[in-house]
Amino acid sequence: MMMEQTNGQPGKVLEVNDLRTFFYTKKGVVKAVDGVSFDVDRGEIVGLVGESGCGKSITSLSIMRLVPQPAGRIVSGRILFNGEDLQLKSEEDMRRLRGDRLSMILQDPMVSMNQILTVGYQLGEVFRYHDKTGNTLREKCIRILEKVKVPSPERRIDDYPFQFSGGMCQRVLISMGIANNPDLLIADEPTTALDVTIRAQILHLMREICKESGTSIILITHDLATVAQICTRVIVMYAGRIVEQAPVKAFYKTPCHPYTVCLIKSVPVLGRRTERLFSIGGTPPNLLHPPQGCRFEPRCSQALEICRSQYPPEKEIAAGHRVSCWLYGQD
Amino acid sequence: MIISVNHLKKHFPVIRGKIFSRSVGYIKAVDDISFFLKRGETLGLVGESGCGKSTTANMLLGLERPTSGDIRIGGRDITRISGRDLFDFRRNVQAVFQDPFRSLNPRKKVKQIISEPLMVHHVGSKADRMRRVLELLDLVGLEAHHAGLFPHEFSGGQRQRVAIARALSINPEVIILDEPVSALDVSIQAQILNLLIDLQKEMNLTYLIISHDLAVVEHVSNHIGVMYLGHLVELAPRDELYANPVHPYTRGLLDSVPVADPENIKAVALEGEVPSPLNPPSGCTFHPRCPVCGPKCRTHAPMMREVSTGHFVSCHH
Amino acid sequence: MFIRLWSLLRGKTKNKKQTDQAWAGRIKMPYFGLACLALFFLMVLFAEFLAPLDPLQGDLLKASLPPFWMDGGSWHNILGTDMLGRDVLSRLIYGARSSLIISVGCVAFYATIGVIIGLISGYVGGRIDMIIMRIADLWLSVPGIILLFVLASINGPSARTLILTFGIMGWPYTARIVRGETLSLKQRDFVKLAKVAGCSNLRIMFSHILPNIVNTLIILVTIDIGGIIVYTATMSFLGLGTQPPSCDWGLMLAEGKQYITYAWWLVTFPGIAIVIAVLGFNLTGDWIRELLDPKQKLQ
Repeated sequence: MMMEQTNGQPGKVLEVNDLRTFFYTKKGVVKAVDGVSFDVDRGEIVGLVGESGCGKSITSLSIMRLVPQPAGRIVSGRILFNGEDLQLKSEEDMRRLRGDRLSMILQDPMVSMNQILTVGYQLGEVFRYHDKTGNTLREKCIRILEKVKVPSPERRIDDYPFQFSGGMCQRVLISMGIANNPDLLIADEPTTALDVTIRAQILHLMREICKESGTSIILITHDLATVAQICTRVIVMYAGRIVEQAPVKAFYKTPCHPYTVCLIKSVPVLGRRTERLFSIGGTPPNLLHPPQGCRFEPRCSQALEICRSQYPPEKEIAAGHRVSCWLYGQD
Repeated sequence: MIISVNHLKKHFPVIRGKIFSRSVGYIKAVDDISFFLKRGETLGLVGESGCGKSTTANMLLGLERPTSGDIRIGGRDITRISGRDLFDFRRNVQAVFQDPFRSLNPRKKVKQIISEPLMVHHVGSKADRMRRVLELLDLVGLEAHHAGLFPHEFSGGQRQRVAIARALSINPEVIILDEPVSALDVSIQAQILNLLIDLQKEMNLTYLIISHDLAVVEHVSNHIGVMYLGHLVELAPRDELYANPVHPYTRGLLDSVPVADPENIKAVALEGEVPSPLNPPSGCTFHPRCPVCGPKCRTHAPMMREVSTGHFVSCHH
Repeated sequence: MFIRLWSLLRGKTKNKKQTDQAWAGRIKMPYFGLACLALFFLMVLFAEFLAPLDPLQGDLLKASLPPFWMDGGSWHNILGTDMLGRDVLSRLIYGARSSLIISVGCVAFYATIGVIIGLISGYVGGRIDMIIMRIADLWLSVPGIILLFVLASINGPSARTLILTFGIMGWPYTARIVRGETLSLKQRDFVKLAKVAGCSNLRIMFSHILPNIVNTLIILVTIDIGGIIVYTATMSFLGLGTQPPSCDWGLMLAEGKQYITYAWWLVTFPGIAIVIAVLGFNLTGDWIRELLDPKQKLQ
């Protein structure tokens, strides 16, 4: 059937090396992504976490080469997808990749779909553009809707997006994302616009998909609780840079970077009440003129003298656990 | 009791035909809810989309007229209020809405936004109003120079502070907050919630806070009401609700909230979707998704009963 | 090559080096459009100083002289004279004033009515909205020229009749657009908040919604003026608008059309003047639209 296992090739699905994406505006250059490096292995679910403006969405757009032009541009860095440098590919090649090997789903399911085309048609587009096998289109669409647990797919395939609820729409979008069994699926805040019970269902679904077909997922979100539930590895971004990356258990048990610690503390926990909610004072830096040293320094309660003048290099402090912080790196 | 709501219903007719219209059915957005709130306390209304919490807020604000039932705020019956009375009533109840990017008029300066309620109700002279604006800015943690700026020059959290300042300007007794922090980052959420709590203590305000985020509601509320498809399925003091949730939906909701602990991965607590309010299930509206559904649940809608002091549940079990 | 020229005119250079250097999402100014507009307004404001001769005074001895670069032409009448000996250039310059007054008059008239009706229709909604829109549809189906004929026959054709006619006929265009914007704006939370504060409907319409529509209006009006200039010139050409001896470009076209074969300058220059004025307004309007487009504003 359609569930081909893609774990034949070992190695990494995605390698991002020192990615820099800048936006050239009237007011100057906004360094939205300023030296980001990370990898994604086959079958992993990586959580890319950070507050708004930290550059996580732009990172994903850079990978897909969908950065809004002409203002935005990938200035430097390498992005290797399945070993191939995406920067060197032509637009035509990128188009062939997108939707097929490399796919993306966005935040608000209601606006991501064209309201005047049936769901079946839009789903069919994904197959039509990349069609390889000879199965009939309709059959394929129904199968894929079954996979994402849309009830009565044979009937719903002819419905329009507005006839679906938010959660169902998101399932349909996920089905479009995984239709061709991509190697990598980038999900940008897929559950933020959904109700909490539906959120749980969608996260569960994504976990299942990853397990069944070996699709790697990059989950972009600001919600640390969501990340804890399905990710295998977590990457934290702040002001255009990665400040910490770690396997999920280590991340929550022993967070290192002060920002990470603050983030985890800010997550309200049901049943455990404090007099005042913990909040990090201050605001993220202006990316037009980022500070010289560590970008979190102005808000950091443990800042050292060196933090203001020099940016801390990334250090590996445990297996797979890397931090950019002078508290761990002075030698 | 400052807010008292009794058997409130709001049914929206579904209309067919443009010139000669007739209604072919009703959307029972709010279907018989009752609750009370004391001065200085906070009621949190939680529920998922389509449960009717926003409609309830709109009715309490006088933006929608209830189909039946009554609402009393500050001792006054405001169910069918209109005209001059409605205008006077507005001084008592103000609101803060969800989206700080859209709830402020982008063409008006902050000082105009904050002073508008004062102006409309002819409070004080222009100089008085300006003084009040500066007072309010200080109260919400903004600075004097912010008064001359436009909304787009602020961040999300700051805009929400402006919205709060505006709501406070005419000294209302009650503030209705509809998803006040959902559009903000987690750390900003915390700042705003802390601010709201401080203001409540200082000015003895009464809040009705609506949210889909249980953690937010837990932090600020004294009482929590859980709504599902227009019904209030459970109403309890905060600690009681989190310690002993009785209604299966409440339990499912609490179980669905993801926890920031990878050792504690939760199974899916509630399958299925919220049914359409046009065609709600018979009997107890929750029965198709209910793990403990019995034969009675399919046919008879349960009544609200008190299971312990102040803890009401609408369930047959 | 034409495409390059056109994009140059539109102010967007395709010079690769420039694009590489100035990566900024800056909207290039429409130099040509602004120049046209500047020229137009110069003519309007300083006609008395710019025009070499009296536009109404004709010297029959100097009738139908060609422009200065041709045989028989002279520097005295740079662009030649018309059949009554009046200087074409001077008439052209004074004509700008006439065009502007008429077109601004028309647009102001119908835009004001259109905005008020559109606001009410969009905000109140329901039956009233439906009725108003049906009336607007009806209105649009009546050709304005008929009304113009009727009014012209009652009051006599004149600039004032033109303004009156367009004022009466033109409101549905503006009303429709304003209604559309009002409909979407009235859903916004700040309108809800205004109601909660106790604002009257009137206040909400004019103090809250209207300022947010101003952008669209500016663009609409600027581009409309260009169109109206052509329209009114046409009406004058047909004899239904400004009457001789005033200097109106359309009128000049009408007067000159029978001499077109041997005194081509009598129609060519007014024609070019109209084109320049309209281009000026349209290109500038386009530029303003881009400037005000929120998508251009990067965060």
